[in-house]
Amino acid sequence: MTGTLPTTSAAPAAGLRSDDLVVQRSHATIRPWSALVCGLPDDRTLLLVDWIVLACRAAGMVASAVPVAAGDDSPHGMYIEVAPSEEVEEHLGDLPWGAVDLVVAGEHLELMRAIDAGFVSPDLTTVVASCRRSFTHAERVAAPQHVLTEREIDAIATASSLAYHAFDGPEVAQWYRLPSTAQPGLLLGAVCGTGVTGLDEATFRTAIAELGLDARLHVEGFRRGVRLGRRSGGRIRRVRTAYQFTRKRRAAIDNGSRAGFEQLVTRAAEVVHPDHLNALQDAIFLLCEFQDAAWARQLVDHVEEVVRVESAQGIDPASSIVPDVIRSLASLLVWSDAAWVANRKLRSARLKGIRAAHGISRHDAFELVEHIPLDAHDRRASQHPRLRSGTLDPAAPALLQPFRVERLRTTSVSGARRLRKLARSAQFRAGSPRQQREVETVQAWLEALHDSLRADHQLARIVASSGTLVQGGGAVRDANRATAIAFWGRIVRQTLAMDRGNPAGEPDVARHVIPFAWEQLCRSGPLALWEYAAQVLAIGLAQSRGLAYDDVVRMADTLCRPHRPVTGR
Amino acid sequence: MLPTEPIIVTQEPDPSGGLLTGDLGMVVLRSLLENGVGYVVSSWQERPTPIDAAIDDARASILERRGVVLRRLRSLAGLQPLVTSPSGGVGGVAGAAHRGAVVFAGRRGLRPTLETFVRLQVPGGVVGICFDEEAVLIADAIVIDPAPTARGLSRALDVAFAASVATNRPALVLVRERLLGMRGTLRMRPDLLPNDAADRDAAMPRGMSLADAARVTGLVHARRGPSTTVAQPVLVTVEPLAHGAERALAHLAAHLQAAGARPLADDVALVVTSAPGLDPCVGGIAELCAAAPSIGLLAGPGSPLRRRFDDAVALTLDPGTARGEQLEAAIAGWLLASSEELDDVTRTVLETCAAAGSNRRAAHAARVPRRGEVLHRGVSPIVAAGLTLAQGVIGVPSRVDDAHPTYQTDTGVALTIAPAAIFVEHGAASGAVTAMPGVYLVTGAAAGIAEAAGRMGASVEYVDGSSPRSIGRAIGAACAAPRTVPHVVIVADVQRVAPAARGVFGIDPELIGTERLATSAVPASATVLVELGEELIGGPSELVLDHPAARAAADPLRELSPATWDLYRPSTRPGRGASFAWMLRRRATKAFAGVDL
Repeated sequence: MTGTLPTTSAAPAAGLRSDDLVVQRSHATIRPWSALVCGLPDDRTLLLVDWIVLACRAAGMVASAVPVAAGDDSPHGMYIEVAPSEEVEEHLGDLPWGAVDLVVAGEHLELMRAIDAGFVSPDLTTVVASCRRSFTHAERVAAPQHVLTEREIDAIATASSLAYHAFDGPEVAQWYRLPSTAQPGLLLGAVCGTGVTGLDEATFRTAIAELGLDARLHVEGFRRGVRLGRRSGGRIRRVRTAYQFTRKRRAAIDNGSRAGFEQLVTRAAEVVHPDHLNALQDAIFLLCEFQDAAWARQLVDHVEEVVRVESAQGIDPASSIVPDVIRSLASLLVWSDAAWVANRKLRSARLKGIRAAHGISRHDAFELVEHIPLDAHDRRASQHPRLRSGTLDPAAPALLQPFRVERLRTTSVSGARRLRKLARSAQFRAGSPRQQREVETVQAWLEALHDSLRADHQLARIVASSGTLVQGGGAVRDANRATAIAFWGRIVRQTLAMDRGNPAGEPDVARHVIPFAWEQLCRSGPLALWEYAAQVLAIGLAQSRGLAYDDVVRMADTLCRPHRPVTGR
Repeated sequence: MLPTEPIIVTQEPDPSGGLLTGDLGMVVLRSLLENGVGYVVSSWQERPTPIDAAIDDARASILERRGVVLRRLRSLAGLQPLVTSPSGGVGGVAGAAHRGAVVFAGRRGLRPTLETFVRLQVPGGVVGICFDEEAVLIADAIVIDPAPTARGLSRALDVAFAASVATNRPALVLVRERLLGMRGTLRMRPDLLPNDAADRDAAMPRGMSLADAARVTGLVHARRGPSTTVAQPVLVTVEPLAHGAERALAHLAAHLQAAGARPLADDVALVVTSAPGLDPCVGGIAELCAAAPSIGLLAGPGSPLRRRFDDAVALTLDPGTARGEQLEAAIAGWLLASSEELDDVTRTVLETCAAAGSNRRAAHAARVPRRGEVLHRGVSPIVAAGLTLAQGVIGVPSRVDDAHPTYQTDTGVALTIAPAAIFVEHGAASGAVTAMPGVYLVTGAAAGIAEAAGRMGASVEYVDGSSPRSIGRAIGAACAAPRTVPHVVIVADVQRVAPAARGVFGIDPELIGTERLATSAVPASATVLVELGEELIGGPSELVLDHPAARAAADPLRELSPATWDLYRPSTRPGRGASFAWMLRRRATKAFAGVDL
C-alpha cells in the first residue's frame, strides 16, 4: 500500500501485518499516512503544508501538521499525519514516529538530517527534494573535501529511500523563467507528479487557489513541477552530448590540440560510466586548455587504470571513486602559475560576467585592476628560457623568494598586453622543473591511491579525495603539497605497510587511522598532521622492532581517540 | 497564513459535519463558537497573538452576528470585575451567566497573574488561553496542557469549559510553542448560541471539587489494557504523550505476539491527565493505581506529576522533542525493569525494542554538522594559516611530546608555539627540553615577552599578525637552517582598518577553488560559502564579499591568491570626449592585446 494515501482500509502500524492485530487494536495500531516537510524557510514550509492540508480536506480527509522540534542534528520542519477515514481521525498524533511516506526537502543537508533521524526508509519513503545546498557555520571551518556534496547526498538518498526525486529548485526555476520564490510550487508539483499522495492535480490546484498567496506564480510552478515528479526518479539534470560539449569548447583550445581533444572526449564515453562522463569531459577540456591534448591524455589514462581496477573488484558505479579521482587529477595536473592565472583573467566570458553583474554596457568606461602575486619562480617561468638571467634553484622554497603583488589593468593596452604575455608563457611550461615537481606529486598520489585501492575501497575513496588538497599557487601550493604528501606518506602508506604484518590480511590499522586522520585533517586543518603523524610513525617503528600486530591495532585504536573534544557549543 | 474569515464564511452554510482547515487562531475561534462563548477578552498587551488576529478577522462577519461581545482591556485590574460579574459584561442578560474566554498574551512572567485568575470564583464558564509555559506548574488549578493538534486543542477547550462550569473557577489552556505552529483539519459541530450555552450551564451541577470535576469532565481518564489481569501495571502520562503511549503499547504487544510471546504490553493500564497540576488518582483510577504492581510516569522534565508519583519509575521524555521510537523504547525498558518473571523470548523482544530508541549514527553522520557546532582550535585561523604556509620550508613538523607544544621540523630546528602568557611566565621552559636553541612562536598579547626572550638570550622578531604570509615567512626563515641561538617570533596583534572604498572589490571563484589558506586572512563575517556547481570542484568555494572587513584584509589576501580584482567606474557621467576616448581605448586593447572589453 505504500506510496499512496490509503483510501479504502486503514493500514496497520509499521511492522504489523496481521489482520487480527489490526482488528484487536484498531484504535491504536492504525498507522496514518505521514509526511515531513523540511529544509525550507518557515513561511515556505507553511505554504507547502497548508497546500497539502487543504488538498487533503478537498479530498475529504483530515490532516494534522505540527512543527518538528529540531534538535542539534534533526531536521527543521513540519510533520504531517493524514487520516484516510473517520475512525483514524481520533488518533492523529503529534509525535513523529519512524519513517514517513513522503519527505519534501527544500535543502539538501536538511534531507540528510531527515535520513539520519530515521524519517526515511527504503521500503516506505518517497523523497522529493530540491538539492541546492546552503552551508552552515561548521562547514565554513571544515575542509571543502569534508563537506557533503550534492552528489554524495544524492547517492545516500537514493539508497535510503523507496523513490528519490531531486532537482535544483532555483536552477529549474531559471529554466522555466520563474523566480526562485516559485520553489514551493515546483516541489508541490513534483509531489503530485510522483503520485505518492493519491491526490489528483485538480485537487492541488484548488488548494493553491484557495490559499490565494501568489497563486498564479505557484500554479505555474506546480505545472512545471508535476513534469519533474513524473520522471522515473533520481537527480534531474540537463543532458549534454559529446557533440554539444566539443562544439562549444573547441574554439578555446589551440589548433594543435583540437583533434586530440575531440578524440579524448569521444574516448571518455568508453572509459567511464555515463554518470561520471560530465566530470571527465570537463577535466579533459581543462587540461587541454591548460597545456595540450597530450597532457589531458595522461589524465584519461590514469582514470582508465582506476576504472579497470574497480571493474576487477566488481565495484558498483554508484559507489565508484572515479569522480573523486577525476577531481583530484584535475587539481594536481593544473596549477596556478602566472600563465594559467593570466589565461583565466583574459577569458572573454569572465569579462562579460563582470560587466553583466555590475550593469556595465560596452559603451561604459571602467577600469579592472587585477592583483597577481608573483614570486621569483613565477617571474622566471614566465620569461623565455634564453632571456632568463641568474640562477634560481628550483628546489628553493617559494615562500622565501622575493615576491610582489603585480597590479595589472586589464582595461589598458599595456596591462592587457602584459597579461597576454604572461598567458603565452604557458609554452615554456612543458619540461620545466616545476612541471616535473607536479608530476612527481601526481605519482606520489597515484601510488598511495593504488595501494589503498588494493587494500580497501573505502580507504581508497579518502585517498582519491585527498588529491584535491594540492591547490593554489606559489607558496600556498607548496604548503598544501607538503600537507598532502605527509598524509599519503606518513599516514596512508605507513599504515598500509603496518597492515602487511596482519596474518588475516585485513587492513585493520589503516581502517582505524586513515579515516580518523582524514577527519582531523579536514576539521582541524593541516596542523592536525603535526599532532598525529609522528605518533603513527612511532607505532610503525615499534612494529618494526617486534611489536605484535594485535598490539599495533590496539595502539592505533588508542591513537584514534581525540585527546580533547574537538566540537562543542 | 491560512485565511480565516473567508473559510469560516464559506463554510458557514454547513456548520455541522463539514471539514474546517485552520491554524491555531482558526481552531480556537471555531471551538469558542461551538462552546457558545458570550464574550472574549483579548490581550491587554500591545502585540496581538494569533488568536487575537483570528478573532479580529471574524469580528464583524461572525462574532457580532452571534452576539459575542469583544473586550480589549488595558490592564489586568479590569479583568476581575468582568469575569466575576453575573452578566459577564454582556448587557441585557438576566438569570444566566455567559461563557467567556480570556486571551493572555506574553510568554513569560505571567504566572502570578494566572495564579490569581484561576482562583477567582466565576458565575459562568470562563476559560483563559495563555502562552506562558510556567502556567503548567500552578498546583490545584485546572491548567490544561493539550496535545498540539487541532483536535487536541478543540478537545481541551471543550473540557476546560465543562470543568470551569462544574467548579465555578476559571480554567486555563496552555498554548506551547509547537501548538503555535500547528495546522489541522477539524470536523465541525453545530454552533451554540451564547444564551443557549448559558441556559445549559445553569441546569448543570455546579460547585464541584476539582477532583470530582476532573473525573466527571474527563480531565483525567484511564483505559485498562485488553488483558484480563486484575492488577495491571499503570502507565501515567500527560495528554501530549498520550497518543504516542497508546501506539507504543500496541506496537510492543504486536511485536511480542509476533515473536510468539505473551503480549505483556496488553497488561498495562494507561492513565492520561490533561491537567498535570491536578492529582489524577481520583475515583476508580485511585484503586487502579493502588493495586498496580508497578507505576511508570511518562512525562516531561519538571512535570508537576512527579510530586504525586515520587515512587514511580520516571520515563522522562520532553513532549516537545520526543520521537515515537524513543517513547516505545522507554516503555519497553520500563516493562523490562518492572516485570520480574519474563521468559527469554519476551526479554529479548523488549531488549531489542528498548535498544531501538538509541541514536544510530551512520558512517557519513560525522560529516553532517550539528546546528550551532563550533570547532575549537588552539590558534587563530591566521596563525594556523601562517604555520601551514611555513610547511613549504619546514615540512610537516611532528610533535615532540604530549606535554609541550614543541614540534620537530624537517630542517632539524625545534618550533615551539606558545601563548604569550605562558611564554612570559616560563620562557624557554614553555617548550620541551629539546626545544633549545629553536624557534618560539608567541601568540597573543602580554607584557614582558621581549624581556622573557632576552632572559633566554634569544633574538626577537615581530611579525604582522594579520598576514599569514608574513607569519609563514618569518617561521620559514627562522627554521630554514640550524640555529645557534633561540629566536622568538612575536605575532603582533594588528587591527587593520579598511581604506576608503573607491571601487568594487571582487574575486574569481574558479581561481580560489576550494583552497582556504588565502581566505583565512579574511574574517568569517566577510565570506560566504557557495556551491559553484562545477563538476571539477569537489566542495563549496569560499567567496569573499565586498565588505569593509574584507577590504581591511585585502593586502594579506592578495599576497596569497591571484583571484582578487578591483573594479572602478567614473563617478560622473562621461562627456562625449571621454566616451570617444573609451571607445578608442577599447578598440586599441582589442587590436593590440587581443582582449575584448
